[in-house]
Amino acid sequence: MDTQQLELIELAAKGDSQAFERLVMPHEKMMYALALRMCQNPEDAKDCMQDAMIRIFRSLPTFRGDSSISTWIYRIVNNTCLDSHRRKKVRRAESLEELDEAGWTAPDPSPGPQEELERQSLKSALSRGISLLPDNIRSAVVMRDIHGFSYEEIAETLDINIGTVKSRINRGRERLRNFLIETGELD
Amino acid sequence: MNNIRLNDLNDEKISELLKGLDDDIQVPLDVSAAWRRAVRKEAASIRFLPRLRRWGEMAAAIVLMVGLTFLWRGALKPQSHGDQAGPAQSEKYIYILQEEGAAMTLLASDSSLAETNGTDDIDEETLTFTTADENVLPKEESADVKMMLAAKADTGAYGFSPEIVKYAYADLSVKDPGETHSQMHALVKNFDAYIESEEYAQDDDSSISGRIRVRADQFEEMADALKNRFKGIELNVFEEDISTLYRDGSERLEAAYRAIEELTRRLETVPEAEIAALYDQINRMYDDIDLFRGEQNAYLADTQYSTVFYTIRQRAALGSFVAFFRPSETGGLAGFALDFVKVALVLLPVIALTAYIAIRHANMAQRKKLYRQPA
Repeated sequence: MDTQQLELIELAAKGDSQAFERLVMPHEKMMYALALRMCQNPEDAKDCMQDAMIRIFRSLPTFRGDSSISTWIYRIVNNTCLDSHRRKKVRRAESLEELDEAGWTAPDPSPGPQEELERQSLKSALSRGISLLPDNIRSAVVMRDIHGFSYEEIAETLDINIGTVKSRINRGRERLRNFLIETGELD
Repeated sequence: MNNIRLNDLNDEKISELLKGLDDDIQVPLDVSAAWRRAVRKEAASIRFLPRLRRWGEMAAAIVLMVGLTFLWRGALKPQSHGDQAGPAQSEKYIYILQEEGAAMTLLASDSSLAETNGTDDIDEETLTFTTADENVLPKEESADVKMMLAAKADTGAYGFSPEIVKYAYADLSVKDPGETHSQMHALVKNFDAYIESEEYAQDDDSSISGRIRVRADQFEEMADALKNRFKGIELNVFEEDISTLYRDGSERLEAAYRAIEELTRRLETVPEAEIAALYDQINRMYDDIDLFRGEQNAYLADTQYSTVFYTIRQRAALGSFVAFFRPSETGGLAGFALDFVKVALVLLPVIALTAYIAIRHANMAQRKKLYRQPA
């Protein structure tokens, strides 16, 4: 953690909302992406985002510095989304248009290079495949393969051991592979 | 359909495909605005809470100091030592008249006392007796004795029933003993009381001592008045049950009267040469009667009027400093306010210092944890 970040943490812990905004802004996109992946619909993602931000703001005085701030934030967002998921019935996105409203860039319908089109199609399929994964597996796969967290960071965030992390990631990838085969995305 | 073949879709490929999946995500403006609003609202409520907590802490500190002031003032009130029963004596008294020829000799039947051969050697203080053969007593009581006994039976004992004598010792350490003594004089006048005696220390005027006599039924009231008026007073109250002492004295008187009666009867029969000695004996008996009556009168006086023995000393300079931290002698709200200030002067620096050390320690610990780099 750099000095500026530490100063922002100290100020935000005392109740400075502007310092808090500056502290979390670099992680906003990641947080929203995770919320979207976990909640699978934009409305719930918005609510989770709001709840998570308030939880982070309230919990800052208790932040001990044992982990990086991004890992700590990620954990809170993940737990908030899981709590929300358990309370609500998951309303899956029925169409790509809903996801587009949520911020995903829809595939360009105009004719373009074949490869780009196929890439976009694959991305959409993967997104759908991820949404079908169980919560615990989805968290691990998203953190590792999409957001690039290390096994240790994932283990700390999800409060599991590294072996379990690797196991869940492996199962997640396997399911994605099977999903892609079933949807005909592969040759 | 993608041109990715199934055989190529290993873990690494999956990971590569997933990487950057969310790169195109943009956070909608309404989402961003919503959480910012929520956080600012939360911040506003958090700012109010510390203020409320500070007011609460101040109120708690004031309540604590007020309570401590009450306890402090109450705890240093002089405690009454309560009842202290006097010695109980209940012995029958009788003069043992031993004949040596025609002479009558008074003997003390207590083995610890020396025998006496003549009336001149009899020490008044050693006239203690134990129960003896009743045959020595005259069988027939004289008219005087009868009358006395009748009077006693009728009214208890000489017209009253002595029971409890109360007395007290009061000590004061003040800046101006003379002024305090005057205040004591004025207070005493509010009761049926008087200053029986007083004396000033001969070397200087730094202490005044004396005795206050107050009617027994007003003793408690006056003692309370002294405690309320002079806050730093040390007042120790004692009680002595003298009923047995008084009865004891009465019985001794009776015995003396009976002995006189007997001696008087013998005057009629003894040879003339021995009459003088007999008269000496009788006079000695009357002396005893005077002594016993004196004691009885003293008991009577003590039960009717209680005594407060007081000493007023001048406080030394250091005593003044120490006395500052004692409850004030002023009663009422003014005294309480002064004592409250004293408690605050002592407590506030202690609380402030403790809080400063605790907060500083907590901040240092927090900083250490924040600045510790994760492994």
